[in-house]
Amino acid sequence: MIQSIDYAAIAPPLIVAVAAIALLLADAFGASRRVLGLVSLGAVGAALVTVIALALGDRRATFCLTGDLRGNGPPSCSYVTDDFTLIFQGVVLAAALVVVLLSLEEITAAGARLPAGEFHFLLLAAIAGALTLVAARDLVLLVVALETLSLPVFALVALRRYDGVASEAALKLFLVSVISTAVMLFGISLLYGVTGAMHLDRVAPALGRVPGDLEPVAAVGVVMVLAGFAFKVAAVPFHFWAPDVYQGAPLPVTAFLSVVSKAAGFAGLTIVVALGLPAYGHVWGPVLGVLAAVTMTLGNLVALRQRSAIRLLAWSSIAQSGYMLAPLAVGDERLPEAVAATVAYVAIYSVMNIGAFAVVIGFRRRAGAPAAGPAPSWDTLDDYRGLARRNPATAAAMAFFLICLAGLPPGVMGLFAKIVVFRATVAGGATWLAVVMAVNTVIALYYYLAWAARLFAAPSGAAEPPRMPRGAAVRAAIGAAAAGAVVLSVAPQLVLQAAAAIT
Amino acid sequence: MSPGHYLVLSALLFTIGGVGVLVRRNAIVVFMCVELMLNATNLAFVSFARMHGNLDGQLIAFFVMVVAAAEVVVGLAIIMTIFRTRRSSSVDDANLLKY
Amino acid sequence: MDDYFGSYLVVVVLLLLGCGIVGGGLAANRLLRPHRLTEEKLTTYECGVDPVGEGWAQSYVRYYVFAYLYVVFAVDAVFLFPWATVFAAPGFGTTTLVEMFVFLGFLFTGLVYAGRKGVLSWV
Repeated sequence: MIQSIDYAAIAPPLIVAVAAIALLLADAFGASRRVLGLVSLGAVGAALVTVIALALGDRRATFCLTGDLRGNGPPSCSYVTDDFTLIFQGVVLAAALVVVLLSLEEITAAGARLPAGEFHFLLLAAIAGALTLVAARDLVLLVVALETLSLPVFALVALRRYDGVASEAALKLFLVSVISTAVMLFGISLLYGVTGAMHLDRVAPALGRVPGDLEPVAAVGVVMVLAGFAFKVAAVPFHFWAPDVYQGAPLPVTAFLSVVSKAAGFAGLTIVVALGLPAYGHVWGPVLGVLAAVTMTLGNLVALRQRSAIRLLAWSSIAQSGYMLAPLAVGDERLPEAVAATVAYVAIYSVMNIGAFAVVIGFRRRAGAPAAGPAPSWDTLDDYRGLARRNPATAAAMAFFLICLAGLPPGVMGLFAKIVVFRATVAGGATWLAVVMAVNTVIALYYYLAWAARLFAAPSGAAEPPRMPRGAAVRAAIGAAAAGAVVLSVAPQLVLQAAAAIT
Repeated sequence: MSPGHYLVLSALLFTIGGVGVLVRRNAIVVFMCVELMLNATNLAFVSFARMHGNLDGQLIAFFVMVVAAAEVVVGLAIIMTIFRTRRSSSVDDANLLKY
Repeated sequence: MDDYFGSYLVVVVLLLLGCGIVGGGLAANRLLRPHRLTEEKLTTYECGVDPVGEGWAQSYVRYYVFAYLYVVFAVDAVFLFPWATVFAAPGFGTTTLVEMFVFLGFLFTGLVYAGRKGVLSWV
């Protein structure tokens, strides 16, 4: 009657969750900020090591239905560590490691106004949610993990209390998020009503034999479930929280939202559509196709006229969501290839985007902008003029990240990611979407390259940003992201083959 | 009393909540409407569980309740901080962040 | 179906009977009593003391933290109910008991944190 638990399989989220609680208690009993940061860093690192160890060993599954409940059906495990899970857990943890590094100074700095213990507790809780989300294979666990990922993030965004902008950003994020959760839950209830199952390996066959009069119900359920995930990945029309929240939140939290949270959201979306709803590919395929096209077009067009670095990154990451959605538009036709393309793009996007955020955060710190304040004084693109003269290494890293995001050589990994997505989209028969994507890639070139060019332009002269002592943690974060980007540009097959092997 | 009646009620409650979210301007009222939507979902889950004769629907209803409670606490805390800086809880007054 | 509603018939009859007794009493009283109003009689009755201030009273908002804590912990108790129905059944036993106390331990951690942060002290 009692489910046996495979503790090795759930080790990554377990380590992070236990560390989160330990941090909360340590903070309550007065541990220093530095200790808290190091524990947080160590927990994420340890979880990353366990993920690598799991990847080398057997594939595991746990929380399976016990014999008498299972009947003659499939094994129905709620938590599965297969290749898909491990890739995403690796991506989430690697990005989280960079986020923790980036936050170390913002939190530990003397006079920092963010509470350290709560920040690290909430961050680790959200990471634990993300790790569980990518391993979830039944709808209940999926919902609970999604909420475990979302709820701490609301608090993280609002953590800078008495700052109107942060609270307002948190309110926007919160309202949009709970509404989309409610819509998604209603969709899940319809799917459950039609199929009578919560485990995806039972939902999928049951959806294949839905009686004719219930088909519209199932279709409505599918679309409502998609809406919930569309919010999480900031796809148009559920995108409008993103730029405001990115601007209002503390910057490490912004990096978390745009990389970890988004990667986990895509993992959840892929799990649901590929494992649970393949029978309704004719419904969600076109929906996702239209979402992808609108998302990338609007994201790029609005990004063109942004003057602030953070908002530009926000809109560009909305546009990038469109590219990631595009392969899934093929529906159930050549689905494995599409899933592999999405996984590869998400993994590569995470590396280059977290790198860009690391530089922006480092720049803000170096330029001496106040950690709080409604109008960041060193955040416009023009402030980046002449960065190459003052900090050649940082400028080179930033230029490389931007070129990767644009998808030009020598940023080979961005280029390959785009090619993989193109190929999957065309192979699945959604040629129109590939055309839209090509046009968008050209539009995006403009603003990425304009920013990269500013790095090497002559300084504007009048307002030279003051030099501030730089922290080792931020430099380590930029260095790690840059190293990852270079390695993946030299050998993009590392990710592409791993992604292709998952199906 | 067939489960169908409960489902109609659930759909009605969900729609009322959805309309409320769209037309009301006070953050707290918007938030109450979201709770209405979540509870409508719970009603649907429980009636479907009754229809299918398995417990999965009741199980998720428990989790939805707990999630909703956690959302209430986080959400009200955020509204509280906004109110402290702004003395207003209307979503129309939240206008510091613009495109 | 009829049986289902039939069993509620007693409740409905009882409800009507109750309303009848209360309403009848008030109506009889109204018919029999003298009806002479004075200003004194029209003021709000407050235990014999003269009423002070408005009908609206604001309470201190700082107590909202207690309300939040109550909501979270009270709702987490829903997990205890399904557990309580099965933990003594054959096939569950000690493991199930320990699991629930692990869960309660997590909740208790939250309370310890709140206590250490001074949220629970009454001001």
